[in-house]
Amino acid sequence: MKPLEEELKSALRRIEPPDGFAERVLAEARRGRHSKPGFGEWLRAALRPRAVRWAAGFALVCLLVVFGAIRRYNREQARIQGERASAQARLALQIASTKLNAVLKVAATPGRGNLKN
Amino acid sequence: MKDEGYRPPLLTGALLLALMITAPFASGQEPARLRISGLEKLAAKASETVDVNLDAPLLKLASKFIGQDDKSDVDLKEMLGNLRGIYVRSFEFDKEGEYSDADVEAIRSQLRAPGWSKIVSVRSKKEGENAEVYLLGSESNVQGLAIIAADPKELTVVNLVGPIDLDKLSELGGHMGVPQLKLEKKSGANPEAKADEKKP
Repeated sequence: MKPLEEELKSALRRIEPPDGFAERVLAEARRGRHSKPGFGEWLRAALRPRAVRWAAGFALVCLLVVFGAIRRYNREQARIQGERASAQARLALQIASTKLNAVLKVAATPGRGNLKN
Repeated sequence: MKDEGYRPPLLTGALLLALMITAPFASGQEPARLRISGLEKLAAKASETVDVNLDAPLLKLASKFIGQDDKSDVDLKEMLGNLRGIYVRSFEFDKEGEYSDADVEAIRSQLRAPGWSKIVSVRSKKEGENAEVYLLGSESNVQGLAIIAADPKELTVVNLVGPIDLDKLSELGGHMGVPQLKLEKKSGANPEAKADEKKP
């Protein structure tokens, strides 16, 4: 029995860890606690099911259609507003021109107006 | 105890004067722009009304929709590009006396401000026609135009803001795809003048 006891004692004897072992273990534990998956990794994981992939694609197409429709509506509104403004400007300048010509014509008639140069 | 809030009257007066002079610029008010919104009450009595309010952004937008097919369009586009505002109120009434002298005087009083000068006035007691043309700035550098045409059954106020070439403006009448109004004939020389006005 004695050699067995000696063998066990030798095998279970206390051994000091190498230098810096505790620090390395703590550093590894800290890294493991703080590391999170990146966005790409998260996205890949989220889109893994086929239904989710289809839904995301559909949502993207819908978004593009809505943005396109809004842009087209805004352009159409700007065109309508521009054409209306253009017609109003023509009318206004035509009135201004006609009135100006009428006044100048009457003013040029002797004894009818007062034209100051 | 000395009064800290006291200011000499001269300094206070100077500050007030400076405030009065700079107030129109601080509020962004164009000196050539007239306040003609008071005429809007006449719209209810008028048989025909023209109400045009185009500020600088709208004029810029409008000029994009003017083609360059002929010279009048090119002139019109150039004029719109220079102007900063076009404001027109025109009312046609079925009977006389629908507007008062006070309505016209409210506009005329604004044209007594410094810078404005009356270049033409036409008055006919017999026919009741009154027309006045005012310019802001010198004739070579017109920065604003106002026309008041007051007939017994019609009142028109035109206010153009910005640099204006009067010769080009004069040429525009009847050259913009719209027949001439022939208002100069309304005094009786041509009884069809009124009918011409309503043609498209």
